[in-house]
Amino acid sequence: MRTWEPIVLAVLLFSPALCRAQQSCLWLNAATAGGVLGGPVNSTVLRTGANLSNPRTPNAKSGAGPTSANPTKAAAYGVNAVDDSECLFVRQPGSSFGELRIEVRTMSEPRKDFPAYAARCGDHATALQAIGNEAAVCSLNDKPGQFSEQVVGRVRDRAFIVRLSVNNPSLSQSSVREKTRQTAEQVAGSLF
Amino acid sequence: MNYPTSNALATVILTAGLCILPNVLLAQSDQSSERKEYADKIRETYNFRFGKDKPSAPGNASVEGNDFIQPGAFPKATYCAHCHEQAYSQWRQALHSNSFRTPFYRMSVNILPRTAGIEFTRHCDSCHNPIGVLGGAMTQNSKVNREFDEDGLTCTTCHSIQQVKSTEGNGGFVMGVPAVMVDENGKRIPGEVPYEEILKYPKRHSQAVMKDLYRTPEFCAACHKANLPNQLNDYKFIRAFSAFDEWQNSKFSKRNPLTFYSADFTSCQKCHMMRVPALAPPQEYGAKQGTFASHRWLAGNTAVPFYYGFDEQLQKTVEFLQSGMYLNVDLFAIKKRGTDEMIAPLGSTPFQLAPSDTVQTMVVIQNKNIGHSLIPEVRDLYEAWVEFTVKDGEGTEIYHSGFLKPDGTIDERAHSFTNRPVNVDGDFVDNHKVWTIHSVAYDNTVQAGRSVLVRYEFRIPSNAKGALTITARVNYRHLRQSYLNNVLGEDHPAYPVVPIVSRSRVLKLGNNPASAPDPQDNPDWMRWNNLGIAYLDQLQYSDAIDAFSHVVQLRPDYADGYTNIGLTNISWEKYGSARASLEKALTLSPDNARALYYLALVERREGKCDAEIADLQKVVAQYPQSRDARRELGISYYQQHKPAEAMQQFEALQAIDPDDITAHYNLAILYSRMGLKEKAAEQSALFATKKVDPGAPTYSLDFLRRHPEISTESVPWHLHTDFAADLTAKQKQH
Repeated sequence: MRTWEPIVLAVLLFSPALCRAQQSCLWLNAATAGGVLGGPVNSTVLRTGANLSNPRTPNAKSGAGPTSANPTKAAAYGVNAVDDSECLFVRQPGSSFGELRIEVRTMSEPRKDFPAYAARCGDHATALQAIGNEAAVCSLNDKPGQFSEQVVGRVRDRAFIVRLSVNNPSLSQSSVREKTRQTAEQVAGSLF
Repeated sequence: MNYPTSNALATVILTAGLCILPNVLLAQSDQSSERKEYADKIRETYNFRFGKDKPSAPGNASVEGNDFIQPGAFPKATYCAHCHEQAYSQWRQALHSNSFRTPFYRMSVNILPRTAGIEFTRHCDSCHNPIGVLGGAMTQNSKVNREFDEDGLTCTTCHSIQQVKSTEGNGGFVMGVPAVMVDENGKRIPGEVPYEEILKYPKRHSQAVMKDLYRTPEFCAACHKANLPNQLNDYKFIRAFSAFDEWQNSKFSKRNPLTFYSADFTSCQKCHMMRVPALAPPQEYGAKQGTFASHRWLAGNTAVPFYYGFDEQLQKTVEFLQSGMYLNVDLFAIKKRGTDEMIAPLGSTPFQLAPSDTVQTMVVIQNKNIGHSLIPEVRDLYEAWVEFTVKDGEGTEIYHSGFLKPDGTIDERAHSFTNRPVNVDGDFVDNHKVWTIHSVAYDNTVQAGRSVLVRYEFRIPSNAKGALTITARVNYRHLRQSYLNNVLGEDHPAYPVVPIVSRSRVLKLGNNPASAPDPQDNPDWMRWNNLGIAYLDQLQYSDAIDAFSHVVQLRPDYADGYTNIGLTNISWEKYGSARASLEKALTLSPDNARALYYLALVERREGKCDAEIADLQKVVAQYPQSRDARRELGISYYQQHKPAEAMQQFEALQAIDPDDITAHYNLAILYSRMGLKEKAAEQSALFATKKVDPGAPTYSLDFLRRHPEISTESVPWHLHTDFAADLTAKQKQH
């Protein structure tokens, strides 16, 4: 068992702000994630939204929100942050290691809050054009023999983090970065 | 050079054939079984909400074999780029390759899965993401890898289309299984083939990927025409837009005898896929005699290249818009308050101005050479407007309409070429939620070949010195500022505003003698003619006749000038007065189809049915694809109790325009009388859904009551002025 798995399990069991939902990832489907990781994946979705009893409140009349730029406006829709979630796609056992993690969070004050998300890439981030409102990519490479790339970005008041980690000798760092960028574009596209 | 002998050549061909044939058969068989397996799997969980036989509904996209096709069947653009590097790099920056992924599209289409259901997106994605629709990806819990999203309309989507079903739009094409080669029998070889094969048999490659259809406007109509079917809005058929119909009614189609001006036949591709030099390197195998058809599809969209940082595309788009070919702005006339005299045309007529004069300026904007309306398609998202300024000799602003406010939005009293679709609550349909549209409260444009008159009133300050400079320009922004705010939040960078065309004149205080015309100005007769067209469209019939009378004074040889007087009289329901001018036009230009058409309408009123039919027959003979002539001839036959002949005309009309209401209505009756019950019922149902909902204007009125600035603009004759009190008085008077 990996070191972080007991922590996730504990969080799932005890945190009232989180719940585990048997739902598809709202930002990327498993088939696309499988395409990125090079084969079938197992997926887990953690919902972290505030109004979990009503996870998909339709905003049929306005069609806008829950991704409003204006928190006041978003609150008017009554659905702000309900879609906040974390998706984890992992290559199925028996294949080379590959993991794709997508995290989406609503910021109450994007200008104040986003720098904290951006800081996850540190000083070595490279700005990406045309991914959401703004985005940057960085290499994490926190484990030997594994390439790990991360994109941190924003669509209006939603921050998103896409992290791709693979242990596949046939892939270069740059190709992993490109896959991460493409995935981030898909995620950002879903957030508009 | 040594040429192979015929025997050797035969051996080469035979060997090549023997090598290729098994591969071809294998490829076809593999593709077929792979597709079946894929489609079977998709069908297991696919949402067939609109019927098992309509997997793309509410869109119209379809593919040969009538089943889902695996996205992998479409060779990627990078595959094509190997030999078409220049076309590829243009395409990558163009709208077609970004048809799905842009925030500006996703903002709107994403609302459907969040509210109504992803299956409704097939309406939009039949054109914006056909691989997704035909691959069965637009369904709940889709198991389809969406990596193709980033390529939007890739090379092998357009180049696989085998036919267009009709000109109904909404993705009304039939795609073939993508192939880049045909075999020696002309049979398509699905999927990718080695480049060497293509280079060895370039004609077979062309045969697979090029069709004459691709050069026709009907090809573009498959997606540049859209309606909102009742499957989508649970209401009724509503026309969304039709650049194709607008083109068909323009002078460039040569199908419409009723245009004000004439021109050579010009297809959509001629303007939007102009041939450009092929630069070497890189190699562009699609080039012929050093040029190839541009795959940039230059038009008006500056937002997408701005967002993606496609600087070359952005620059070329701006150049395209500013080429000076498309619009003409004419500072045509002034009127001083207190007099009825129109001083016109400016430049050709001397006049006096003095401080404290209140001046009305009449600006005529002509859609000179656009093959469709200004702006075409979704006027709820784009912004074109007139900016008018008056400055004194020191550059101080005296009057300004159409300015940008600090928040980037346009002066709400600007004369804009936009629209306001509204929902059942009479609210503006924001974010392009087209499925909620029930009426259109306001829709302002300049149709191809027509003109509009915009009036501005300002007062010259009593202490004004020197000369005044008046300027009118048409600006364009892609997209509406409030939509950009919705998409990106209010902290986005300013998106480009492109001045398309501009014209200034200097008005001196004191004497203004006649001056030499500017090279960009139309000749005076045409200036009067454009004014007449604008008056006609603003229902100012008396003024229109006066303007057209100036035309025939300046150009007594110009038959259309007389026809214009005739058609204005018809619009004014003065049929007797119309005849003389139409006859004069026919004297100058015997068998002139335009004059004959309008004369036939006069003859109908006079009860001269034989003459009416004979004239319309002549028009149809000259213009077999004229909607108007077919429609009127059908009506004439119907009134003369000639059902077979009437039916023939209405069917021909329907082939030109499948949505013509008159054709549906009359065919429903005629088929019924002929005992063709099924066909009658079909036409009757189409008429019922396509006819205007008589209750719809209520929604518009609700909107207009709450938006006086748009209410004023919606009046055909209106004045832009800073004198609010005067304006209110004039509105009341009007």
